[in-house]
Amino acid sequence: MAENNSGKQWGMVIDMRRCTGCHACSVACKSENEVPLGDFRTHVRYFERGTYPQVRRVFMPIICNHCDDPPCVRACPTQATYKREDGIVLVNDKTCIGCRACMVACPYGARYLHPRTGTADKCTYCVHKLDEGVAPACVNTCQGHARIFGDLNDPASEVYNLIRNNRVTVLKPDLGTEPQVYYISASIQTTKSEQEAGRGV
Amino acid sequence: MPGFNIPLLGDGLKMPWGDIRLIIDFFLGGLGVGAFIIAFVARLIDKERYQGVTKAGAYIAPVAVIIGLLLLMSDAGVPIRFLTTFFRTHAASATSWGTFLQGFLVVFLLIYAWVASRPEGAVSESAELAIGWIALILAALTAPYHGYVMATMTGREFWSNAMVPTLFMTISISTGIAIVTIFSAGEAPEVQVSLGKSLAIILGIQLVVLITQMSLAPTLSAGVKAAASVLINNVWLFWIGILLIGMIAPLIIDITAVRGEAAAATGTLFLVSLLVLVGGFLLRYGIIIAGQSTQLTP
Amino acid sequence: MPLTRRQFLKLGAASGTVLALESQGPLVKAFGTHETLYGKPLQKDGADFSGGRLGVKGSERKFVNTTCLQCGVTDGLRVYVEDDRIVKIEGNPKNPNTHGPYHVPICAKGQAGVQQVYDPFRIKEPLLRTNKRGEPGQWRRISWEDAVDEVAKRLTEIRKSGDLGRFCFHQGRNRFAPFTKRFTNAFGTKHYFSHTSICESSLKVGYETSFGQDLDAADAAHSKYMIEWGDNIYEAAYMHNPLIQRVVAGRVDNGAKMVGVDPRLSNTCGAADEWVPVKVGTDAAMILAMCQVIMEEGLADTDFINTWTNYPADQLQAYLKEFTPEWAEDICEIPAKTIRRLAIEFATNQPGYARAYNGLSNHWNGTYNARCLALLNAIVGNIDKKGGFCLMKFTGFGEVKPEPDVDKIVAENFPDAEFPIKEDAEEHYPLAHHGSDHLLPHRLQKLNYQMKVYMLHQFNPCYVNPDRKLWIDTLSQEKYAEFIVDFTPFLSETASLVVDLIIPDVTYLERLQINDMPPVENFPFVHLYQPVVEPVYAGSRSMYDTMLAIAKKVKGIENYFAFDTIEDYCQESTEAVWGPGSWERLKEDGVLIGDKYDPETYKSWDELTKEERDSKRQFDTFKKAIPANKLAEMRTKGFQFPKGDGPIKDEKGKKTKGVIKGGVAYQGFGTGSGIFEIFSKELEEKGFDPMPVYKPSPGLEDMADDELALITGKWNVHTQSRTANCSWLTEIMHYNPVWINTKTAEDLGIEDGDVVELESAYGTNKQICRAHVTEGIHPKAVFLSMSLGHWEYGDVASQGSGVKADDWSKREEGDLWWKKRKWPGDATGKEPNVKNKPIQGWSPNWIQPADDDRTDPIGGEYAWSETPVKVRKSGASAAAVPLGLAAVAAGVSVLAKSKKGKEGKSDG
Repeated sequence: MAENNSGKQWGMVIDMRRCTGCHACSVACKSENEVPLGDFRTHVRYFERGTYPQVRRVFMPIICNHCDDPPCVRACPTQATYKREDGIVLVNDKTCIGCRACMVACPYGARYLHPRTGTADKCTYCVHKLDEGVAPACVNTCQGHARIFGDLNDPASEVYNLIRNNRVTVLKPDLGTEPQVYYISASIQTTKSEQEAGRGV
Repeated sequence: MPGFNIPLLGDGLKMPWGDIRLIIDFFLGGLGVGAFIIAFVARLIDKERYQGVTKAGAYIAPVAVIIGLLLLMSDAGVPIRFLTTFFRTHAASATSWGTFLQGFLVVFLLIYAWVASRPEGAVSESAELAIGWIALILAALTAPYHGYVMATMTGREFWSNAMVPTLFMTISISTGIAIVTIFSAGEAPEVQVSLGKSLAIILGIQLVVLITQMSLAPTLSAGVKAAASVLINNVWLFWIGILLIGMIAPLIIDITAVRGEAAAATGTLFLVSLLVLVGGFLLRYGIIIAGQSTQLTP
Repeated sequence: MPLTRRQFLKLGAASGTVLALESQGPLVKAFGTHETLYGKPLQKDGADFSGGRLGVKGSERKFVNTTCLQCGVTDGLRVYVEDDRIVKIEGNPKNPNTHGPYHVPICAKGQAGVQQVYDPFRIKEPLLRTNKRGEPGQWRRISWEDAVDEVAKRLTEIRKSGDLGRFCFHQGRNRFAPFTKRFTNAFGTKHYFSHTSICESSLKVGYETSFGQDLDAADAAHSKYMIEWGDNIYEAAYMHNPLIQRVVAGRVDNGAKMVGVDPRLSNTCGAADEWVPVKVGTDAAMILAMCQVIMEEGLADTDFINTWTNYPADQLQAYLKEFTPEWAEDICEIPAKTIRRLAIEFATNQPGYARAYNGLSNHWNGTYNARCLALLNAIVGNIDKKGGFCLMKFTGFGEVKPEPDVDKIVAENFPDAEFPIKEDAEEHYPLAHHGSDHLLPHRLQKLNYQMKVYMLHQFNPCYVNPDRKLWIDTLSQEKYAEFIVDFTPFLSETASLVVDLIIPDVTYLERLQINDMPPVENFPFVHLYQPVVEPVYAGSRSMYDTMLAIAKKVKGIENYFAFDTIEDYCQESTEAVWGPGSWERLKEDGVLIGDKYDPETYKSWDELTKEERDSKRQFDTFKKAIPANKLAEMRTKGFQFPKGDGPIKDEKGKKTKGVIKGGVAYQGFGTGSGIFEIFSKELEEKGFDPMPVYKPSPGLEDMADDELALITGKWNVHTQSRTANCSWLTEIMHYNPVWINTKTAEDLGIEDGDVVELESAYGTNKQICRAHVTEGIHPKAVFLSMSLGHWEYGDVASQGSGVKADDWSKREEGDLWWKKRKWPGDATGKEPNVKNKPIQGWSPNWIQPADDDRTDPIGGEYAWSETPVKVRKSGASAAAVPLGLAAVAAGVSVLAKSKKGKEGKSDG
């Protein structure tokens, strides 16, 4: 568990005001990491709210939260899955036995069993690119700039500033996993005339 | 709407622990240690009287546990690597403890089974007791163990409470008594009736624990509520299979039988044991599946 | 001292409800560019590194800059290779369209392009049909040389006979039109058909007769108000990926409000600040009412109207007077109050724009709708303004001499040549300059005309066109098409059923060609496609190489194809405009920006600073005076100048190249008169209403009470037909439910997930599909996407259905995991057996009729969104089966189903 680590801590902000629901992230990740058909390391959920004609649709990208207190790491009998110094939760596919305890433990459904290797697989924040200074595939391909990635500990980073200046939430905070993916929820823009007309949110 | 939202783990399409081999392992493991527990406790109470019961339990236990573990190993993604858990360990992981717990358990169950097969006096009583006690402690730890492992799974709120290990312990013991009863069909009716009485007690406790768990569920949290409703809405599995056939009917029949003539009870107790075995399996199955049947993503 | 994450959580975390739709307070401004936010930019100038699969882990990947062709928007790509295999596709940072305000994204379809190249169902070599047409094809292989000879022989015969019209060329997606036009022009045929009438031909005609260009380049990033009118920019529409980046930036960074107008809650409307669900086909009424309000409230830009349009403001006001919001309310079912409010908001929150695409134009009144929308923009004076409705700026490519002039070639050498299809089209659709070729089979039958060689270019007509059965039946008959040749690299429905010779093309990632696109940065550029890897199959070649080889063998046209290779052609064409050395630079960068390449001073888009980029954007171009030297150049070229004020025409007297107003020459608009035309003389001359009007569609007016209007569109992960074979896309969207309003469904007794059938007045085929009951559609409309419904094109596209045109037998399934999914309400988990017809992925084309009544008489576009259908529950619904203990083995899914059945309704 990396607590109050003053070194680099990779994290993500998902700005739902910007997500277009295009699934480019789902497919870019598939392509980059050869994710098997039927499994997703990241994907986008759709929600519809309201009754006709006041209906809205919201898009919510989901990804492994690389939690600070990851239940998957705790559950692993061989320590094949571990949290790196810089915050990324990874799986060593040479020592994983495929018992799937981590998948059961994860509250977010972020993991799957790779059909070919028989080992647990999950988002790695494209660590092979990250270690060379390139952002994860899903971040680079996001049309709306809804996925912002960076060092949560760096005051000059965009993620730091977004978290500081917006109301952010995380998924299932009550479970104590301390997820490091922060969501800014979608908002509706209203104009002055609408407000005068008593309309809008 | 399907198609817009991709089904994932936890959406009911892919369950990490949904394979039947794993569920059978949990069932057999519990049944095995339960059989040993009743066998050795009986031996401690009255060695002479319960000789047959002790032998039955001592033989069944290692067989059931080993078969279960082999099935579990075959279910792993990389079965051969299962053995690496002996040297790649993780103190914080309850799954990791299982390697050693069940490893030692198997060893001591086998030794005790061997001891039990020796003719009278071949092994000293103190040695036999020592081995038996160690095996008993290991068995007692294993009885709730699978439930405990499930309870450590933060992501499955239906399992993350103290009821589940307790419930699984009661299932271990009740199914253990049931299997021993079936294999003690040749014993004296009084012996069988004793088994029947202890079965009734444990079944009663099991029922109380289950009802507590399920009735509290809607008030605990959204995840628990959702998972519990999956079970509750399934009439055949929960109401008929688990409750009626697996617990209420055998309990009633059992109590009726043990209060009556001992000799007449034996056939009924055999039937009761069968019902308990079926019910115990379905209950484990139901809890394991229901706990993984809810959508994890919003 | 930096805040710890625990402190973040305390400050920021709410109670865990992520979907609180509350306002965020003052919107956060961007903190500067992406590059400045990190000590070390996480983009590395577009370099990428290997994951170790094919290459050494951490090693830098090689890349090639090229362009995408999954859809018509053609984003710039940077394609990474490892070990001679394409491993990853990203955006090209040098492409000003793809390179947005933050970084260089491409959409899901673009990312899945890898799968086109390595699709196991690609055709590997030329195939000649051996069986009858109309049945799934049986083939024998022939060599590429023989295939080329066969086509060349037939074309030469046609040329000899002098009846040039017998060679018909039909393009689907084409981003190399100058070359393919060269081919047909040199040959001398005027039978050049396109697919534009099933895309947006009416929008184009409406726009051209208003402001002289066929589309727009709205400047969303700087906009304050956006109306997406039938323009599903979040999912598709023209300039989807480039424009959506700027739309989102405009909304979040610039505080713009976005309104989505569409009978269906598309993703655009769903994400919009306001959804306006107009009644199908009534858009123009609302637009006119908005115009009326703007004029009445005195918010119109009368200056612009009086100076730059051909209809004075006071006359316009008088014309619009009767189109009140109350009048519109009765027609479009949007409250007058809302119409009034939106109009005022639009006018007072400029710069802004109202943009449209197929949703507005795929109606019988499509052209009128488009003209109304153009008027709405003109009235607020946002034409070509920063943040407004901008004109497109092009530099393009140059001529490769000699350029074939088809009129001259025909007139001089083949005076007896006839082009009856073209004449018929022009007679009945005189203003449909972008074609009405979805009516080809109708014309063939009406005129009893036989095409001797029918050549298809990236087109699957028997699948994509409405009146599908007629297309299949007509093309199956030799008396209408003697020989059909297709370059498709995949066994499309058309290829399987009617094509005689397939000369397989390569995919766009293996092919060379040049192209240009509307610039959303309002600064012109061109780009190219080039092979990233060698063609995967030796037997497949770029269809342009094939066409070149054919051209060289057709007697009489070789002199127009003197160049040896396509590359030579492209180089010559590029350097004719951009100058020496530009071709090499274009190959290196994938893009050339501006209008000239000067090796000393040229900077690519990603090398420019923000200020440089800002300074390069071009706005208010129509107001710019033409410099004296340019005027002199025009006179030398023989351009025709008016006496006094009026349009400047090119040497042929056809295109408008400028306009003289008050004695000064301005760039003006590309319309006939050189200024914005509210009143269209062109329309008047052909007997249409010259002003923007609302004319109700006869098809919709006649709708019975129990009928619903079937509208269509695309899913965001699919195009109309070419992407269904990409499993990464089809696994996300593989079934095609019909959207139906909750209340309407209730009245019809239909529940979510039910099997329903759609029946139109056309044909005997009923379209069977699942119902998606939603609040997000107008009660009198139903939506069925055209993006799915293949029965060929490989196992993934056809979803293992193996369904032949009339034979519904199933084929073996591949790794199609979604076929095992359980449907809500489907207790057994099995697909209901509807006479073996698969429920997944059906398209509306079986029940969409096409004829003159369903074609816009002005713009020629097919009225896609106007088929009245009856919707009813199909008799084959699966009845609920009691859950039994026998389901233990399948118990996993059984338990899941009872949960999912409840979840399915409330989720999106």
